[in-house]
Amino acid sequence: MREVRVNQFFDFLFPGDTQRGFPCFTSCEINIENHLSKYEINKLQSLIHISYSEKNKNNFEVNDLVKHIEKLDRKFFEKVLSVLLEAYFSNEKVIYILKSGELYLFPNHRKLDDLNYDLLESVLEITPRN
Amino acid sequence: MTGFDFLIVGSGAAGAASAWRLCSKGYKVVCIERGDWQNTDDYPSASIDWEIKKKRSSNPVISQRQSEFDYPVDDSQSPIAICNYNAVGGSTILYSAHFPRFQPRDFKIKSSDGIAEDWPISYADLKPYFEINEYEMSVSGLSGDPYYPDIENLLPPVPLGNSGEKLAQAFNAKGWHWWPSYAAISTRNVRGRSSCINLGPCNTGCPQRAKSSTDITYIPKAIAKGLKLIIKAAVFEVITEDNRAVGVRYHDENGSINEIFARHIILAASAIGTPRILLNSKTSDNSISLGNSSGQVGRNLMIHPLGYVEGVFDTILDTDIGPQGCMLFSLEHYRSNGAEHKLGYMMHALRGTGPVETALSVYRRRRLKFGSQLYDDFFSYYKKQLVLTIICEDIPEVDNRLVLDRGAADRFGIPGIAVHYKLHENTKKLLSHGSDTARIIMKEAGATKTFAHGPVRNTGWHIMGTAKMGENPNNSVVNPIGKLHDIEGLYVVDSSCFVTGSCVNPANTIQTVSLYLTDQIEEYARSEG
Repeated sequence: MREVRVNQFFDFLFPGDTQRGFPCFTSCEINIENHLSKYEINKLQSLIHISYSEKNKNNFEVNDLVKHIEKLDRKFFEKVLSVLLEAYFSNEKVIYILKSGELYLFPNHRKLDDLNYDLLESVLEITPRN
Repeated sequence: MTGFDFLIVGSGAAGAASAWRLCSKGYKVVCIERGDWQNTDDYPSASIDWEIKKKRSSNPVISQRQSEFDYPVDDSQSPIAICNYNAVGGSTILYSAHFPRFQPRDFKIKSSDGIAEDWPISYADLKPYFEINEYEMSVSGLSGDPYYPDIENLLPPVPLGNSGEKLAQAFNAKGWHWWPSYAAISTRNVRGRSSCINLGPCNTGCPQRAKSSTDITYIPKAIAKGLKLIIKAAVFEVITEDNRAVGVRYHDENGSINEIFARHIILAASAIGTPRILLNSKTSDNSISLGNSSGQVGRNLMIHPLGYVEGVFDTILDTDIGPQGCMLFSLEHYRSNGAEHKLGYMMHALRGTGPVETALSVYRRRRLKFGSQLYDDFFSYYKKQLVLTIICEDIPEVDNRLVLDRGAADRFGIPGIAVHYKLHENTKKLLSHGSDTARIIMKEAGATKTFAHGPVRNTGWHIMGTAKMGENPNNSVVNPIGKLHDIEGLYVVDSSCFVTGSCVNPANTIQTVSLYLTDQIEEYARSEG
């Protein structure tokens, strides 16, 4: 039975998307110890190991693995997945793809068209209920 | 320190407006603020990981944030968590700047709807002060709204974008009221202000300084007119002599106790902070807390319970561009003929969330698979969601209240606040009705899925009523000019004095009431000699 390490597991969850240009989790170079404690990482490793052992398989679909680990400790694992989603979707390399290269909100001006005043024509006829 | 004509506690929406008004009239004014100046370079939206920073230092929920400038707030006995911010600028640092006025009817719902009490002041009393405030806060919007026929002289409205146009067309198809948001956001480079650059999340602070927080509007103008601002100073008690308020005691940042005196003391520490100070201050015989012969200090707490209806669309929208909390609103259901509920609600459109919040919300809805499917699932929602919030008018209840929490103290040992709040049965009906109507609009606009929930917990921004205004000292805390019934020289100008709460964002009305009361207080002070 092979041992799946935590980093491999993160890449199963976030494998990247070559077509869209998204990196996998480990390519984002996220220092997971900034997001999870050593205790939490060790606990996650144990749950992964138990899941593989109980399933008695080397390969199975990642969402089956997620469901299996959730059954072992739902509250903890939901917290871990939330933390991983935060870490991944706030990572610079992911933001770069999402925002087509524009990493920062400020001070990048983005234009929206001015109000189309024709939309208000029918509103002017309304009788208010105040 | 002595020699001041007026001492104001709090530099947020109400305190800053009051300070400016008094300094403009030549008075010697000191304002004491428990927080610090904000450095706009530190605002989350100046960082790549703004959504993470938003949850930490810019977390609006005080019980989660607990910075050195905060005091403990136990809102575990409330379905709605209290939101605020302690800084120069107060909660205006993080607010969304959606800035409608209360309606004229909102000041007399006893007469018009048979509910609660009428205010002892009217919209007509406040109208000229709304105009002053909207100029000073660079309010943008559009004249001609059937619900606000007397609003004029605004900067051009914030743009709707294609997402707002979809909603507007849906409202038009139903023949329902909608209007572009009134926003305390400068949409042009005028009056020394920068124009909005549509960066998105206004509620993390505005590094562009286009959103009008009081640290960049009233406070610097007041300082230029002589205001003395003392920061990082946590007021905990009013000092009294011979049944007159003469000053306050505060802890400075080192924890030392200081006293400062003035002829008149104005409390503007918010509807949480003001009752906290009153409850922590005693009458001269130590029998009850200050100003509380009516027993109403801390009571009649009103919060706008909020529902969310999220619509998911098949096409990409521009929901990541433009002020997140200012787009359009509807007062179609300000009142609803034949409905089960009383009073009403505002529908208020919000633009979309960032990538982290999108991913988390899709995951929580169990619509996000991991692995190779993750990206398709994410993009089914990212920049494809719009929200209509249902802001419900809250009926004041005497048992909805704040009390001192002597079991939880701030870093100076001063008790925190415990919140006791239950939803009114009418609120539940409003939320249900509002969810149904908002879903109708979302579907009309082309949403393929809708998700409704409420009350949304982390939305307790609009806090009102905890030092109620009234003519009768037996059931109110302050009189119609904001002076405490029980004691001379002490006044309240923030939303604590609100009698009822409307169904619209209160910030404009909070500042307007503060300006009005400040003029009344000044006239009263002159009459005292």
